[in-house]
This record gives sequence, C-alpha cells and structure tokens, in this order.
Amino acid sequence: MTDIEIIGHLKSKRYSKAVKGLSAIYPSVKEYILANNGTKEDAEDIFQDALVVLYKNINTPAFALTSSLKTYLQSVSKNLWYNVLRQKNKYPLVNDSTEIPNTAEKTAEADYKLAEMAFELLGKKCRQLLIAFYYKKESLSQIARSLSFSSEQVARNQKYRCLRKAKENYAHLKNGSS
Amino acid sequence: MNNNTILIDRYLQNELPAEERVTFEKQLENDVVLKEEITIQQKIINSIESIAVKQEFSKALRKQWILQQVLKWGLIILIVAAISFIHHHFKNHF
Repeated sequence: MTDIEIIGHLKSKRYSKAVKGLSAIYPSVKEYILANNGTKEDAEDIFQDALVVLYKNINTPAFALTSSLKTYLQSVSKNLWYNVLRQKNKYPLVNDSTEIPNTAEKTAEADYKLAEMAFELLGKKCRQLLIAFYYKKESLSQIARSLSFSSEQVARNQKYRCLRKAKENYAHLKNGSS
Repeated sequence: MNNNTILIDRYLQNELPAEERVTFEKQLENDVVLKEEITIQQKIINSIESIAVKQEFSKALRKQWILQQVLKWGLIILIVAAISFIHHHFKNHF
C-alpha cells in the first residue's frame, strides 16, 4: 500500500484499511522505544499517539508529506517518547535527530494531556454522548435514541452537563498540577 | 470558573444568531475570563476527537494483530498437520 493510499484511507476514516499499511511501521517504533527505557505497552501507546498526530495533521490544509510516512511516524514517535522520558527525567540513549520541543510546545502539550484526562474522568455515558456528538457528528435525536434518553432536549441538557463536568475536571487537574 | 458552557457551545457550533454573535464577540474583547473559558472548552472538544481517533486506531490495530495471530497459528497447525499426515502415511506404507 502506498503512502498516498494510506492517507486517503485515513482521510475517509477507513481506519482498518489504513492500519493494514501502517502496521508495517510499528516494529521500528517498538525497537526504538524498547532500546530507550520503554516497554511494549509504551511502544503501543506512543505509536497510537503518533497515528493521532498524523491523522490531525493530514486534515489541516497546510499538510504536505515531505518524507515517507515511515520516516514521519518514526520522527513523531521519537518526539513523543522524548517528552515521556523528560517527564520521568530519563532521556533517550540513542544519539539521533530527535527535535527537542521548546517551552511553548511543552506547555501546549501538557494542556492537551490535561484536557484528555479531564474527558477520560467523565462517566461512560458522558464520554459516549460527547464522542457521538462532536466526533461522529450524530444529531441529538439520534443520540437520544442510541443512548436511551427520553427526548432530544434531555440529550442536549445532558451534553451541556457533561461538558461542564469536563471543564470542572480540567480546572481541578490544572490547579493540582500547578 | 464561570458557567457559560451553553453560550460558548452555541458560539463554537455556529448556532448563535448573527446579532447575538456580534454581542458575544464584543463581550469577548473585554472579558479575559470568558476568553479563557472558551479556550478550555475548545481544548476539551479537541481532546474528544483525539481520544475517539485513538480508540479507532486501537480497535483497528487489535483486529490486525488478531488476524496476524490467526494466520500465524493457522499456518503452524497446517504445517504440523501436513508433517503428521506424511509421517503417518509413510509409516503405514514402509
């Protein structure tokens, strides 16, 4: 599968097909993480995070792939792993071309992680509702049916409650971390 | 944190009528707290997409791994079956 075909699958949200092409890259990422104080689980997490970065970037108008997808994902994975090691005060052993993120990037990434944690702290139904609305772009009437809310209005009110709760979680986490 | 969740959501989803939108944007110019609240709400919404995409990848990678295991073990079983068949066949004939 060519890089262009993989990107096409990702843009059309055909994840299974994209992963068929992308999974060949995983062993090299795993090898790097294992050689730098990581575990197999770390490698899986980092690879998934790198795929999310790729997915987000290909959906921006400015995206242009200047190297192969393999090189791109390896580089993103190395940067992500560098950040993890930095938080643990350990640094990569291998002398490579990993770019060290600047302070603004580090802050933005920490904020992004806090927002993810704030969302993960919500109850299952809240997470399902917000994913259905903001990611799957389902209508509130569809959501009311699939998640057994008595009406569209109840689903809407619940959506706001969940968002509010996520914001509260974020504020607590932020205060706790500063 | 103030509670402007509904108003901010309607603003971010482009659901505010033109007049209300202009008023809201004017309010935004002078209200640092409201600006911060919008940023946080936008971050939460962005994180929802990241998490959903990660779940999709995780599912797809797991499916791919299971398929690889099934193929690997299927092949091993096939080879073992073929070897025992040949072994049994030759044992009976010679």
